[in-house]
Amino acid sequence: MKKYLFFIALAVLFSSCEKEYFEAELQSTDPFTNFEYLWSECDKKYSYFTLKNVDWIGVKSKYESKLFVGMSQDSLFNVLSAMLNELKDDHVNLVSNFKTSFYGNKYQYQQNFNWRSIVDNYISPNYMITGAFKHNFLDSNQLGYIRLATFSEVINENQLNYILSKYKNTKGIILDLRENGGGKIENAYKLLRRFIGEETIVQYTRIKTGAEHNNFSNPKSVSLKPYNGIKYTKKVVVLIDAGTFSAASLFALNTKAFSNITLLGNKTGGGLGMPNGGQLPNGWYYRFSVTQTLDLQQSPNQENGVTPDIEVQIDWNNLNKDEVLEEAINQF
Amino acid sequence: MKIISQLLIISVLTSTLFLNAQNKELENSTLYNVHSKKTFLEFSIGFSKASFSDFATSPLVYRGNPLNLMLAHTDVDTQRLSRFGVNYAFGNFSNDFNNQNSVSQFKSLILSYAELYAIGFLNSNRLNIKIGPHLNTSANFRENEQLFNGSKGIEIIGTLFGSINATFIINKNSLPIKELFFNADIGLINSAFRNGYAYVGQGAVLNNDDFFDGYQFSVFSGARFSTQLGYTSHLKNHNSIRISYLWDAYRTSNDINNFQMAYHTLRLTFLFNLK
Repeated sequence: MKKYLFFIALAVLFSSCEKEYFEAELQSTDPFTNFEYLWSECDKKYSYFTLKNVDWIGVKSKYESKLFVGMSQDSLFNVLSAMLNELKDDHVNLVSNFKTSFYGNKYQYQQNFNWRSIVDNYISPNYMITGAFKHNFLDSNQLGYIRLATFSEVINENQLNYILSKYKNTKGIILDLRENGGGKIENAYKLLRRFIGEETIVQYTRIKTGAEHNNFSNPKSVSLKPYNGIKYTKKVVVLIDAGTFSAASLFALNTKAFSNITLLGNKTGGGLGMPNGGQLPNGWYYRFSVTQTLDLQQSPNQENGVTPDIEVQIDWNNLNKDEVLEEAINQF
Repeated sequence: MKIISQLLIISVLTSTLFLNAQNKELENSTLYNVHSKKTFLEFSIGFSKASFSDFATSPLVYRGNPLNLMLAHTDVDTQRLSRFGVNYAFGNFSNDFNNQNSVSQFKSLILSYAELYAIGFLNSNRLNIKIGPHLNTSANFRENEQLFNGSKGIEIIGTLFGSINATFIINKNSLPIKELFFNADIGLINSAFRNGYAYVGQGAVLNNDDFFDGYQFSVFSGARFSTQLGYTSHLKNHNSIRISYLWDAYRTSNDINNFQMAYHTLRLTFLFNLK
């Protein structure tokens, strides 16, 4: 009997060590605990402190003073999201089961896109829809106009084959990415490969590797190969604005490597850093950028907005005209 | 739940067939020799209470009840035990706190190989103790859609254990022969192939679809322990049946991206004698 007990005691002994052996869980609704956790995670991993010149320790002082014992969940959410918005980055969000925070960079600038005006005055309501693309001929069939509002939806090669074949005899294409909030990076690459003639480095990227704000990996180059099939390598004008964000902003940045593509409109909303995802001790979720996209000079400055080659604003006093689109047409 | 029910039914049916075979052979068999060399094909079904924390993405503990299925090949006699096994565990883990329900779909594949040898001076007619190396590789795949770009997590934990296995024969002269066994594994060399500092990789940006971009291999970091207490009944037909309790716990390291996991598993094993 003693031997049996010895065996059982051994098994119990080992498994009872589990709590000692493991790091403790940090489950808590305490506002100070959650504030410290979120601030610290950003401090260690957010990738654009230096570029955005954010005094993160000063931000901590400013918002920590707004915490108090017994504050409501809603109040805590407001303090945490206000702290995150100091980063001025729409790839930074806080998500609870009752609210989602966002910065709204595009609302800092004038709106520069009016779809109804384009339909009424340029492409007619008889425009075609192919997948996520809306398109039609412009300027007496001399140009093709392609509108893409998001990179989140499926973009497949058949769709692109159809669209580019349709406009193959035009002088050029206007690709409208205004108010395109981004989506899948692979879609941005898939589309851009159709407009290039040779393999080219389009950007560099690096990722956080340590807690210091400037701890990054060595930059890695990103190159794109032309699509092996139907392409359009004549002149392309890409329209952008402050609503052009994330993967769409990346697309805009990448076009700077190609002489046949012109950027026109207003600077983009940035969002070039790839966000992570995480959870707070109270169960809420967050995300923020952990990589830096660098331009061909290996500078991260384009995160503040990819600048157009030609800057044009819409005049909202005349809704029968899209000055951005007019200027694009004038480029051909 | 449906899968669990089906597996339970299969287990009950298998054990019924198993015991029927035993009864048919009981009349003309000779006394089962526990000391002879045997080769077993083992099939196990295990019900676990498990938990994990991936501190790279969350400070919370996710808990679940994964189902374990195991297949193993074992050569064993009084001098040596050689065992190769494949284990597959799957199930949903969750954390329900502060009206936030978070779910992580979990799958794990474990490959293990052990080669143990008897320590002569400790052994007797009823007690058999073996020690030796045990290699184990556990590959976990987790998916929590609420974690944005950090939704997918993969870690491969490689461990060289020092293993000790003790078997005590409870009744030697009557059928079925019963054994109590205890196995302890202590991680001597612990390694992990896991996400880098930022957790997400740059594969999508680099346009190379490399999911493991930024992954790092670390060795001599972390820890792992495992124990198993079991009761085996050797049947007249030279097959065996075993019920055991397994505890397995590991963590990767003490850095900010520590991953830790523990299983408590109640396991039913059918050992089919191949020789």
